[in-house]
This record gives sequence, C-alpha cells and structure tokens, in this order.
Amino acid sequence: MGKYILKRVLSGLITMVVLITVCFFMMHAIPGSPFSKGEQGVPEAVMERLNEKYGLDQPTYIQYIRYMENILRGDFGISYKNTTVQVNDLIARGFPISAKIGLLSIVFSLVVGVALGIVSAVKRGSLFDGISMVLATIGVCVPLFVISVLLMYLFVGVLGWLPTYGLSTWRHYILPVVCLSFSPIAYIARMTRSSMLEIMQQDYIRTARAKGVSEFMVICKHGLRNAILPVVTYLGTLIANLLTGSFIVERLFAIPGLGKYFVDSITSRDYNIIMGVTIFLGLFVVICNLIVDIAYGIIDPRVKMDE
Amino acid sequence: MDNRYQPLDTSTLNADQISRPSVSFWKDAWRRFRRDKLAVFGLIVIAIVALFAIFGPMFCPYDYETADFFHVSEWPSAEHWFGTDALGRDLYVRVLYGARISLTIGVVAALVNMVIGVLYGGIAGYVGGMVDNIMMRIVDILIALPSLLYIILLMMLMGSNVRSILIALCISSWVGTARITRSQVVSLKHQEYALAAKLAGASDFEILIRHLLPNAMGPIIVSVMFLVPSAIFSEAFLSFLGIGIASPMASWGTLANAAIEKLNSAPYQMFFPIAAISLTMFSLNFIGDGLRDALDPKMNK
Repeated sequence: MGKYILKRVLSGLITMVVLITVCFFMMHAIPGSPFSKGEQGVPEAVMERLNEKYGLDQPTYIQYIRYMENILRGDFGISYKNTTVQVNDLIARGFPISAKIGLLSIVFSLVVGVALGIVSAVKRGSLFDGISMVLATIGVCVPLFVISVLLMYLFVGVLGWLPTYGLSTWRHYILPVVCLSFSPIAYIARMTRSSMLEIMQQDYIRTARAKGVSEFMVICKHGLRNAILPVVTYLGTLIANLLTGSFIVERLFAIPGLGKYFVDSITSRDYNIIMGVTIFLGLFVVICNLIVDIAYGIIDPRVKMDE
Repeated sequence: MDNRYQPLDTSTLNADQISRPSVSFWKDAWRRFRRDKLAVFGLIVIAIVALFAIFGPMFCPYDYETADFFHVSEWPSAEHWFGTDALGRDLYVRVLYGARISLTIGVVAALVNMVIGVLYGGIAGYVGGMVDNIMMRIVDILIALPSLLYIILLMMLMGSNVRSILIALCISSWVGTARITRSQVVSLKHQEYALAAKLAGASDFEILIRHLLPNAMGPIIVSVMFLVPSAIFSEAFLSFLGIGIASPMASWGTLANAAIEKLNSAPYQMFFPIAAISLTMFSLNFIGDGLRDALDPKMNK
C-alpha cells in the first residue's frame, strides 16, 4: 500500500512540474514582450524599466527558475495588462464560488445518478428504466452548452420560474448546478445500472436472499456497496469535467467564479493570468486525481498495487 | 470378379468441406452492425449531414459572410430557410458551413489521432520494458490533465482558426488510443502467429504492422470512432466561449454563441445550430455504440 501511494504521489509531482514547464515555455513562445504589444505610447526607457522590474530582461532559464520558485511559494504571478491584478487575488475571489457550485454539483449528480441507476437496474425493462436511460443517452450525447441554453430558455425565458444572473439567493444556484450535473448524472446512472445488474446476479446476493434478508437491505448493503466502486473511479474525471464545464456555465449565468475570470482573460489575451490560472487548475485536478486514486486503493483492496 | 477393391464413394470425401462461404470478421461485424437500428439511423443521418455540408452551399444563392442590412434577424421564411442573423447573413448557409467545419475537424482529428496513437501505443507495447514504462508514464501525465486546458494554451499560441484547433486537437487527444493499442499489443504479442512470423524471418516492424495491429483493430476503431464526437464537441465548446473559430467563419459553436444575446427575441437563431450539433452528436454516439457491439462481441451482455 505504501509503495502504491508513493508511486501515485511521485507521478503526480512529475505531472505538476511538466505542466508548469510546458505552460511557461509555451507562453514564452508567443512573440514579443508583454509590454511591447499594443502600448505604442510607452517610451523605450520606460519599457526597459518595466522589463527590468518584472525580470523580463533576464535569460529565459532564470525567469523559469524564478517562476517555479514563486509557484512553490504559492504566488501565481501578476497580470501584465493591469499590474494591480494578481492571479492569487483572482483565485481567492473566484475559486470559493466555483468550488461551492462544483461541490453542490458533485453531491447532486452522485445522489441523483446513483438513485436512477439503482432503480433502473432493479426495475429493469420497466417504463422508469426506459425513461431514465433515454435521459442518460441525452446527457452523454448533447453538449453542456446546448443543455444549459435550453434549460435557461425554458425556466428563465418561457416559464420565468428562476432568476438568470448572479448568485444572491439559493434559487440562483439551481440552474447552474442542474446544468453542470446533467451529463455526470447520465454517466453515473449508466455506470451504476450496469454494475448493479452484474452484481445482483452474484452468488452472495442469492445467499443473502436465502438467509431472509429484506430486499431493501440486499440492494443497499450487498448490492450497492459493490456496485458503487466504479463510480468512485469516475470522480476524478467528474472533477475535471465540472472544471471545464464551469467555463460555460459561469459565463452563461454571469457567475463571478474562476471559470469566468479564466475565459475573460483568454478573450483579453492576458497571458500571465492564463498561465497562472491554467497551472492552478491543473494542480487542482492532479491533486484531486491523486486523492481519488489513493481512496480507491483503500476502498477496494483488489486494486493491483503494483500497477 | 473380385469386389473387395471397390473404389470409395467420392461424395464422402468432401464431408469436412464448409458448404457456405466463410464469413470474415469484418463481414460478421457488418452484419451485427446492420442489426442495430439506432446505429444504422446514425449512419444515415451522418451521411445526409455530410451530403448537405459538401453540396448544400452550391445550391444556395447566399454565402456565409455577406451581410444584408435590409434583412436583419428575420424569422425563417421561404427565402431564408433558417432565417437570418443579426447582420442579415443567411443562417441556413452558415449552419451548412458549420457542418463542414465540424465534420472536417471530427474526421481529420480522429484519423491523425489514430495514426499517432496506434504507432505510439504499438511501439510501447511491442518493445516493452523500460521504453514501454517511460512512454506510458508520459501518457499518464497527459491524461491526468483536462485536455481542454492545453488545447486552450495551444490556441493562444497559434491563433483562432480551424487549422490551430485541428493541430491542438491532434496533439492532445491520441493518448486514449495509445493506451488501448498498447494493451492490445501486449496481450497479442505472445500469440503463436507472432512467434511463427518471427521464425519465418519477419522484422519486428513487420510483425507489428502486418500481424499484431490488424488483429488489434476492433477496439482501436471503436475508440477512434468516439474521438469524432469528442473533437466536434471540443471545437464547439471553444467556439461557444468565443475562443475557437473567429467570425465571420461560421461554426455551430460560434453561431450558438452569437445567438445567446437574442435568445428571447430570436430563439430560432439558437435553435438551428444546436439542433444540428445535437443531431450529429447523437448519430455519432449511436454509430460508436453500434460499432462497439459489432466489433467487440465479447463485450456483449
């Protein structure tokens, strides 16, 4: 077990270093210094001073080492477009909001997805099964932005039941969370259904029934506990999907989260912010994956430790 | 007359001959695929979309970029089948151009990814040992990050156009195919026919290309088939955020993005592009599911 965790941590660390390195050199491959573009009014001397101040006159490898050091200290840099803006401020402002919506979506999609999957598996072939599998197919196939736009049009535009913009009351959370959860629910429901179907045919389920355990307990205790394992592996992917999904949902519903700041900085080509936020999001995903991997290794001892 | 030496009845000699023509793996797969109604439906829809994408614009009096300020945001009519957008451009033609872009991106990205992934995974699996270990650690690193993140970075580097989206997609999404190819090759390389080929003097490269990869093709094709919708999705995602294909070029994502602001006054501007993309995604996923069932009979439950 210790070896397994060590290996996962090591590979996670390498991933982070590669991510930072690639980001850094890609942003450096973009021609021109951050201060030479678009600001024709800046005199030569001022530009030199600016470059000096931010270390941009140094050779690339020294800049790289400095950047690496800063990130290790938890400093993701400043915006070169508006030097009062720090990436850390953006993260501090946007991330809690995004994380809150993301967490709500994880809980919502797990509860609804697993419930749909179990009921579909138990009542296999029923109308409920049919409907929920059609919904799952829609969730897998239709892109997030299409679902978001449709739900927004229906509940805000036509029915007027829900507010559109911002996050002032709990009702503002409903649409973003439902939109974000739509395709995760589909995946989780499909996964739970198929693994539940497989497990309900196992011998130990028959044994439990033979012993007179109530059907509810058979499903929840003997079936679900085993059927839920593949869902745990999906959590890593789920977090990555929610993260990229938040770019769309936060933009559509004007939520001031990290995803919106990220897209805004891409649109305004604020390279240093893009780099800082990308690295932050990348690190976040890597750490989440690491936790999921280790958790899975603990929950399911059958996982090959030498893999 | 000695009749102990009667000639054998020749009709019994062919007893072990197979009376029907033998069914190859691909014929069998095609037969299974045809039985899947949804998959066939998907195939027909994609064929229609492709035909319209290729030939549709030729039979249309409008082009995708000429603005007509006398006919701004008009509802669908006999003249403009899908209506016009905020600049008076014909939406029908723009949706058709969107189909061109989406299908091109889907097909090209999938093919390039197949070549890269199959070669990479094939080499890693066949050579094995340290090389395999290092090559697969690289894949682990790439797979650990959401590919949209580095697609965005690459787009920043290369600018917003179809070419750079294609390059970014080609660089980023071959890892899944590489993993599948590797695991297939690893399990196949100790089969007798690989040994026989080696004894017959075939080079390693020949064994990999001529003997191992054709046998691993089923799962590889399935994974590549699912790359088509995911590439189309990535392009639409980026264009919808306004960081993909730039106007006046029309992609389904760009069209949907432009329609958000007029969602209440001109919902048809949103309807046609998202209907097109949804229909395409459904069809491609159905085809992928059908192919998986057809090419991977063991997966059938």
